[in-house]
Amino acid sequence: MVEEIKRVVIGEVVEKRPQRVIVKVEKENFASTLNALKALSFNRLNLLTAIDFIKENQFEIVALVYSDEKKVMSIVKARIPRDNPEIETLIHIYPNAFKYEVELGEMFGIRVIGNPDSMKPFVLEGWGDLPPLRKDFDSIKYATEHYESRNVEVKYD
Amino acid sequence: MELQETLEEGYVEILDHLRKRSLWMLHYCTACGAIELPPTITSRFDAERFGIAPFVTSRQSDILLVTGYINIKTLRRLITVYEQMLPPKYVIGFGSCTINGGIYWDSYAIVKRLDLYLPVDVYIAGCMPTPMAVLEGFRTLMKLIDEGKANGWKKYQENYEYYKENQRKVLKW
Repeated sequence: MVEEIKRVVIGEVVEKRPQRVIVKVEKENFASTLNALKALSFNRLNLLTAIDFIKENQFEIVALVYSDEKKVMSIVKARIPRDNPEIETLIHIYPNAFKYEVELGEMFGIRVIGNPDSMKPFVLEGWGDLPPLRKDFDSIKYATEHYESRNVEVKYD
Repeated sequence: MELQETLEEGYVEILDHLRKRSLWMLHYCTACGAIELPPTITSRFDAERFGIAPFVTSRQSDILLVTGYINIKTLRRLITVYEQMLPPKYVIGFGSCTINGGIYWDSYAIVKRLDLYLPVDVYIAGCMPTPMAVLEGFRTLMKLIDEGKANGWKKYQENYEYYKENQRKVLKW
């Protein structure tokens, strides 16, 4: 399976253990890689998310695709810059990427070109702060400022 | 006039006494606490022997059981559902998340205290409360109704501006 993937993908292909293949590509090749993998019987998109590498000033976009036929999970990764982040949409390849892409916009502030609902509020209605899953967002500070807590002293005997 | 007032008070007392044995609970399961309800309602713990039955529409229910954490998206729907219910209506806060945020105390989306936004009659502490604790909470509510102390819905009408202001702060209406 690794050889087949290596033949269609421009990028680094590592077989971490049996049935887990990691594919690292450039951000321009992200959508085309997934398109090629879909042709290689990777018919299922299990997850599309991002990881915030704040020290390197980069986001890593991660897509998990699974092949029902070969029973192989492939993990496709691409780095994008953290300032003004944008990716291309995957909804024409995997239609269930739609809500994952909305979540990317809401939780990380990553604009998805081609998705009509990108950057629209879905879970966080009326949100006016940094996207909450970024590493520089202080969740405790936000929670104490916005949501009143109960001032009760707990005494243990 | 005095006689009429006395009669009205007595009438309300009788109604409360009857009402406590026939409480319909709204099936609005907000969070993980809902998983304790199937054993509570079904044959092992059988909440129906106290006259408590689950019901699906808000307009015919008496109890709003808030099962678990409330995030800002759920809170907006919860307020709509509560305002659709006909008085007398009672709110039970279920689990430690409704009391002080529970394990979600540092979350960016979870409101920590339910009683700022809706008038809560009974809190059931625990994470998770067992079916026995839920039944104990129901029994406490029944006792409060019998004594005429479960007046959360009156409090909501009287302090409507206070509750609305708190809701506006969080939901940014």
